[in-house]
Amino acid sequence: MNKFWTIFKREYLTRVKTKGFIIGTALTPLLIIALTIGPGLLMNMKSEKVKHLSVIDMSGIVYEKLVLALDDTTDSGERLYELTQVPANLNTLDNVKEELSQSVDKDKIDGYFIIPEDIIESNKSEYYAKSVSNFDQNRIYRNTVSGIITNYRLKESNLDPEIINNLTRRVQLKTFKIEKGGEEKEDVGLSFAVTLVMVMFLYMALIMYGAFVMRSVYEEKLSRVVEIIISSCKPFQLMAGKVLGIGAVGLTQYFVWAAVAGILTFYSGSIIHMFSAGAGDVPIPTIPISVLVYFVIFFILGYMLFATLYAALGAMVNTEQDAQQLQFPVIMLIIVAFFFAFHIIRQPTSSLTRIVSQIPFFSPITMFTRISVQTPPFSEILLSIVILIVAIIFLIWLTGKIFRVGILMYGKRPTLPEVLRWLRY
Amino acid sequence: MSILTLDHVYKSFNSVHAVNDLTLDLPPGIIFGLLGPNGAGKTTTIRMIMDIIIPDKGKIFIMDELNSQKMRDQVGYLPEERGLYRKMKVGELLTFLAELKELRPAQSKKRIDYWLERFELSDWKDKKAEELSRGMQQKIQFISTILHEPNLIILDEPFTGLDPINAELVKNVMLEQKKRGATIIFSTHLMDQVEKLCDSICLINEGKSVLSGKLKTIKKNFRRNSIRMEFNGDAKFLNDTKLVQKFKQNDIYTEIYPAENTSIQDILQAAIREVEISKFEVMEPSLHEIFIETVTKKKKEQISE
Repeated sequence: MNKFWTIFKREYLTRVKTKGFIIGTALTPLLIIALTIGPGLLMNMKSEKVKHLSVIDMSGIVYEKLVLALDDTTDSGERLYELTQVPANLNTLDNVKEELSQSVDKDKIDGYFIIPEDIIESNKSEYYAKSVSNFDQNRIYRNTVSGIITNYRLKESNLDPEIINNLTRRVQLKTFKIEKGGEEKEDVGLSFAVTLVMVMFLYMALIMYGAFVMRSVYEEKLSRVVEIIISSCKPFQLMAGKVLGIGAVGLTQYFVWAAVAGILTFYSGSIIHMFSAGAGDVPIPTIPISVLVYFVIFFILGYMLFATLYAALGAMVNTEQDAQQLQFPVIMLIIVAFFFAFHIIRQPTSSLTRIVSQIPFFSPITMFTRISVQTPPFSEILLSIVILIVAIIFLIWLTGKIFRVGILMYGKRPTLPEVLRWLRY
Repeated sequence: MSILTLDHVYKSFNSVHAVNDLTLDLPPGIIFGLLGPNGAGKTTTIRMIMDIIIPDKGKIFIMDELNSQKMRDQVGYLPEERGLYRKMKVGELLTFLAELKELRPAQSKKRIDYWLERFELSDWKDKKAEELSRGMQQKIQFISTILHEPNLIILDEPFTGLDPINAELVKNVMLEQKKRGATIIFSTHLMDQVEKLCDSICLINEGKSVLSGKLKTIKKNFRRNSIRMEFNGDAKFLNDTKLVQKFKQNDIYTEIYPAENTSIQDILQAAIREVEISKFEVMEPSLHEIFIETVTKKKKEQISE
């Protein structure tokens, strides 16, 4: 026990003290902050600069309506869009265009529209500016011009635009998720995103920390330190110290992140208010505590399962290339589980979902996905946890033996029959 | 009490007998040389003592108790293949290795400082192991084998890769450790180190012990001493087979191997009668010769079989 602790401590401290870990742990919450309040901030940020726009309206029906439609104001009450009409006909168009383009180039105006004479029939108009990559801004212009033309057509057909708008109004569909105990909660499509993000985290963590364990084992083996270590402690102590020490690093990181995320979910509303007064109802993703608890449980169990597997693989490795190759089937398992997760999000009650959420190598990801989208019966969750624990115990027994023999085998990579023979030692 | 006992130990890899019926019994407080040509089974033997390899047959006892982790905590081991955690600082690394041998950081701190000072590595305490030269890394590893003051110190090729000054330092520390009461086993094929350090040796070849015991006894029993003589004149006695078994001549001296039942005195008297002697020296057989002769004799026997 004592030596297990010594090894655990080394694995944990040497990792937690590295610059990479500290930076990674600190930067990710910043990223979370950016992702949670960033969109809210952006959505509420109005462009305060007055836009000077020129309009070449050859049809004669758009300009006046455009002035009326683009009536947004800045905080100080000025008009946001200052429009000027520039007269032109087909003969002078090219010259006028060139003049306006130069004005744009010299920042005298921000951009200009060309409304052709036959816009009603051709359905085409043009907008020129230095920067045309702002989708929001483009959408505003398009919708405005489009609306003006539509209304014109309706009037020409003797239809009242207001009646038409009223008749073709879209119907809202709000989605609600039924939580445990029949509680209803309005869902704005965010629970899907949150599930996806958490499953992604789980997926990356299993691959990343598993690979850490593998690397830690084979580096010790390749640098030959392992002879000293193994002559000073039991192989099982070494393996357990490594797997749990590195796992603890992962958990440390998650607790730091969870704490930051928790604080943010709690205060994010007021944080956004601090930045911008008008932003009230920006939706903030919240994660139910039970899902967080399951996340930790399935991270620990999944990590234990894969880390022991990775430890055994690390013990079989003799070169870096070996490591790459041996890692591949394990990564495939995790990737397959990740693909099942997409199926589960779409069909949370299918029989395939029920089956794959019980298979040990998939269940850390698949069962967790199920829990966060649909909350299956507790008995099924319990069953998958029990199966996982049994699988872990079996795998520790199996890989412990491979580890014991493999860690001291140098030379060529063992073949599968050789590995099977090790099991009999 | 024996510090280490190997009782008819066997180990084969595939069909090669790496260690074949090896029996050893070491009293405490000696320096013991494990000798043999490359591939003789020295490292395999040491790895079995450290439980890195499990013997096929036979038992190993440390301090009269069956080999166990508890007993091995009292052993310091320098493997043939050196290696350190490259990214760890030297001081932390030594603390960790000492802790693996049940030495608490509070206890090991002073000793680490002492030994780093002794090996002129104090400035490197907070440097990462990968920044050290190979010789320095080897010294660090040597320190880690003696830090917990083990009763038994096993060194696999401790001198390879060290310059003469550091080799001397390691040799002196080995002698100090012996004075402290520790038993030291070391494997080597450098015979002059063995002659200077060892009380007892075991020469193994092809996994078998071919020669073992106290160094003095081995030398005495191996063969009679030879004579190295420089002279002027016609030495007819050299051809007298009653006196001289065989002789070798070069430009400077003649090496004479006395025949059986002939004393050195007899040869000296015969020589005085015939030639003018400028130098007459009795030569002990060197371990080097013993090594080569024993190993090659074995080979010849096998061929004639």
